[in-house]
Amino acid sequence: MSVAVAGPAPLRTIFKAYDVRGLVPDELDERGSFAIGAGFARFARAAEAARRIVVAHDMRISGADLAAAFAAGAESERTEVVFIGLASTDLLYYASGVLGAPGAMLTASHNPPEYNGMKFCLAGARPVGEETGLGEVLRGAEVTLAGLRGGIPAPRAQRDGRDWFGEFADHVRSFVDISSLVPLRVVADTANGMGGLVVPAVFAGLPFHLDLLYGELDGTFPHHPANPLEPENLKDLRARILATGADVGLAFDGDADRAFLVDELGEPLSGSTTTAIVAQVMLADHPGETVLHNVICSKAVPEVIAECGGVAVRTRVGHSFIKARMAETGAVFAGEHSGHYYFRDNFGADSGIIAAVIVLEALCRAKVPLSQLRRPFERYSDSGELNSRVGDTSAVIDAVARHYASHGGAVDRLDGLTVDFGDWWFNLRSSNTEPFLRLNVEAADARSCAARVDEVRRLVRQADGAG
Amino acid sequence: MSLDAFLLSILVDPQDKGPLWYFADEEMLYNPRSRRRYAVRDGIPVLLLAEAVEVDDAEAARLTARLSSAVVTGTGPEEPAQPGETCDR
Repeated sequence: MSVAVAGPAPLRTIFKAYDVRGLVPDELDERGSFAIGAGFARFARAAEAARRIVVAHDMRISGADLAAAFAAGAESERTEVVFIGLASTDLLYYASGVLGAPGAMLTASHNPPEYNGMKFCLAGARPVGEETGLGEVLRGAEVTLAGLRGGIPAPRAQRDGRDWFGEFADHVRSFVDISSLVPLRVVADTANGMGGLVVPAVFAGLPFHLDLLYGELDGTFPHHPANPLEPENLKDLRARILATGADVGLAFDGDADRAFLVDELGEPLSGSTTTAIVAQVMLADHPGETVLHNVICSKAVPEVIAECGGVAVRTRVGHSFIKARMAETGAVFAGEHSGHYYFRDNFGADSGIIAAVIVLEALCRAKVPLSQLRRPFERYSDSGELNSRVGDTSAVIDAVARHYASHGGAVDRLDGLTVDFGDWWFNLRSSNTEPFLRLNVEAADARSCAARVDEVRRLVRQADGAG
Repeated sequence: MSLDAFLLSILVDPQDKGPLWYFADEEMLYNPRSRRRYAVRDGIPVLLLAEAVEVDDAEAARLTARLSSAVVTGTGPEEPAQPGETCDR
């Protein structure tokens, strides 16, 4: 037997591939949040007979109200809510793991202040994405929203009294040997996001000198957007490192699940370099184990994994693929070029601050500056992600694949198209939402990389023109 | 004969213009806000206020209860985002 909802579907546009994200209150208000809470509770009960979920929110202005409405929605489905209140996304995953309960985090990650949204997980921080239940959450929410009359109730759940920050900080510190650490000077720019609570809690038990930049929680992001992928947003951190002679900088996004490292010269490390450094440390502690890297990571990453005696497994880009492959392979660690680092001993979930403390430990042991430590891991020159607009993305990818197959390149289609010629390679992927192709090229040096970018882009233009 | 997804996506309640619950097996559309039900005859929704039936408390409770146990279907996100994207998370 099935039931469908007919008519306007205001929540549909805010459900993305992995999460919910929309403008408050036009696309997402308290009624919508209540409905999604009910939809998630219903989904969690159907998926794993869950009677209890854990809910947290970040520092966005709308966070507390939307989280309360979400909790009330879940309670309307006779589901108990463990309400953490303010948290980072990786703390919520940790709580889901510890409690063995599904979780919901009210956050819009690094989006501008007008946005809010939700990330979900099942018990043990298992992912919920488009193909693993997000659609069911949406349909359940639509049904509830259609039936809402009048106002929504306040939640019964009170803020949980447990010291989640203290517990999570202990957990993060368990990834390093504190006796090996020396008093490095660390600048952390938490961009007025949740890192402002998490970073001091973790560093309180470490012998580092912490200089916290924009640590006060402020959902208006008064200093700069909480998106460390944009070089513009690293300006203040770089300036502070150079002005104070700090050893290392850390930049976090709004919900503090991603961390980026900057060396003592103010130069940011790529996600690939951080992945390679963490892989080396993890394999020293877990010899011969498996480490995952996505198809966009530098070739240096699988090389380092192999040199350290590990088994490198290449995966598609993205949260749910990585988590699924981690479970299948039993991998100890996985890294993505985008700054997501997943750990088996963290319920397979990603945490930027765990990766950050692991690199800090490597730095202490190496007794060299980060600008030197990074060098052996940076072996090639890459283009970064380049987007181009084309008509038919899959036709263009097929045409480019045919061209290179006849020129002796090793072609694989694990995620889009990857062609490897030994001394250079590229990946071309499409975006389903926009007529965009994303190109990444890596070659021996900057000059040949630029030449190969031109070559592939020319082929893309030709194929697009022929279509 | 079930209503198709496109038709469902454009149907609204004739009075409050809000969404409806569609119970295919009972051949009816239901407005849980106004507690009115509309028949679907030979695949044609009869969205006329004059022909709508107001349900009593017991019937409203039964329909609401059905939702908790039923599989809720729908057309889903019309333009699914790229499953592989993480950069904008």
